[in-house]
Amino acid sequence: MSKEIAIVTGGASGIGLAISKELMNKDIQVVAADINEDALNEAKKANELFDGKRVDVTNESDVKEFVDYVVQKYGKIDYSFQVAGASKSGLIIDQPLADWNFTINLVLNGVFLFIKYVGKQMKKQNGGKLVNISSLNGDVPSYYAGAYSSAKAAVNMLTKNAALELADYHVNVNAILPGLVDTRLTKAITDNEELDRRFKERIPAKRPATPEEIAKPAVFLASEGASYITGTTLVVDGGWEITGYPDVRM
Amino acid sequence: MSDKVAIVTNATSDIGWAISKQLMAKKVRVIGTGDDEAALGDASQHYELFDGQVVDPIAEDAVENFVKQATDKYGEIDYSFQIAVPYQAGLIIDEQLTDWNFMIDLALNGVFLFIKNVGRQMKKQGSGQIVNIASMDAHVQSYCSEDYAAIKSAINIFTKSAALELAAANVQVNSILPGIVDSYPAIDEHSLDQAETLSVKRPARPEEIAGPAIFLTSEAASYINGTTLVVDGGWEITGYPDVRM
Repeated sequence: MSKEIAIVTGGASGIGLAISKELMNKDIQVVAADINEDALNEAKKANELFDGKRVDVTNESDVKEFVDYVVQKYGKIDYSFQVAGASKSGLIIDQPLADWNFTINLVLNGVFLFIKYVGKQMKKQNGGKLVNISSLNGDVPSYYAGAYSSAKAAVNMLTKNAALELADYHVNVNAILPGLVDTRLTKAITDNEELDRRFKERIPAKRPATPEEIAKPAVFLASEGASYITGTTLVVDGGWEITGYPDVRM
Repeated sequence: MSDKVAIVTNATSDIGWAISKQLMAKKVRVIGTGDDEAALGDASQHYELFDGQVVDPIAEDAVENFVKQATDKYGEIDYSFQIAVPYQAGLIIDEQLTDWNFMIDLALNGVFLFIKNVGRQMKKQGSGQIVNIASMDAHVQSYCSEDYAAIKSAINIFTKSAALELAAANVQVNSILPGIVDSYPAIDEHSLDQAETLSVKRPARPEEIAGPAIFLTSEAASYINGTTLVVDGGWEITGYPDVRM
């Protein structure tokens, strides 16, 4: 049986790297699309199942070339995890249009481009699994995150629309909505004592997730055990979403 | 051998039995409840890891005693799966209050009583995982199943309330929302018609509901709490007609 092939965008760091590692532990060949060449080289050195290319996920010809490369070299794509993301935060009334565009472009358009080209290949194969790493912010707004929350909400709907369009070709499309995760991008929160306290007060688990705690549910959604799951979102937030009310216990 | 212990209510129903079998395959001891004495006895006889017991899920004393005895016998309750089965079709304006009450009692109050008593024990243990099998009907209403949809919605919010209350005790509570499942509640011609509207064009096998339910109790789901996982073959996303030409 030939080796299974997975694409992971942002696969060389943070949640993306954790997903890459989970997959390689299952002997799956990972091909990462990442903007960070140093991180790609480091991950390649660490595991021979890791292949990767520098890709700007917002650039259509980059994405098309990357997907072509994977299909030419490995013959197929079994899984694709869309993880790459970042944002320029700011209050809506102060936010420059350029910052808004940066976030929408990276978070939303990057996912669209991968689903478009990988989906085309999976349609041809008549099978495949797509998992998008969205965010709890797709359901819950937050200060300074107008662009990010809007883009993630759109990713959730894009997930469902892609599931609808690709169901006839046995392609499952789902999204994970992580809460606070311990990564380089959230260090600004967890390193700030006051902010860290405010977040933990809200999170029943009283801690951020490890990247592995996001990676494992994402890989589950791509597994045989999830064969009947498509077009849905799975919140992985340590119970954060359910704490809209203050704690009124006396 | 695993020394884990699970409670599965309605354990000889389609989904209940699929969950029980997958747990036993992982060497988890299953204490299965239900009202079908013969089926429970049969399963206990054939499976060493299965301990079937008739329990009236809406009798508080019965549920309390059951959980106490299970704890005395096996030492702890690691997992509890609540599967409420009843389904009756009817329109709101025609439904008898007694029928409505029957459904609320069996499908909602039963889940409350199990979580109350199991939750108490898990709080004492400082750990545990609870999964409720609700229904996609909690999100999408349909003709003739208004009580079912209302109850399943209530189970969803109850799941979240229980998660909130028990999080400090390191207990996770989540729910699965299945779409149409083979012979659950019952495959008839009408429900097969409904399968035509599914994205994947077939009902789920009970095992395809059991797998995700057990995943939610696994180590891999350690950060998942107070949420619902829809397992419906893309049914929920088909609100619009297919406009492809």
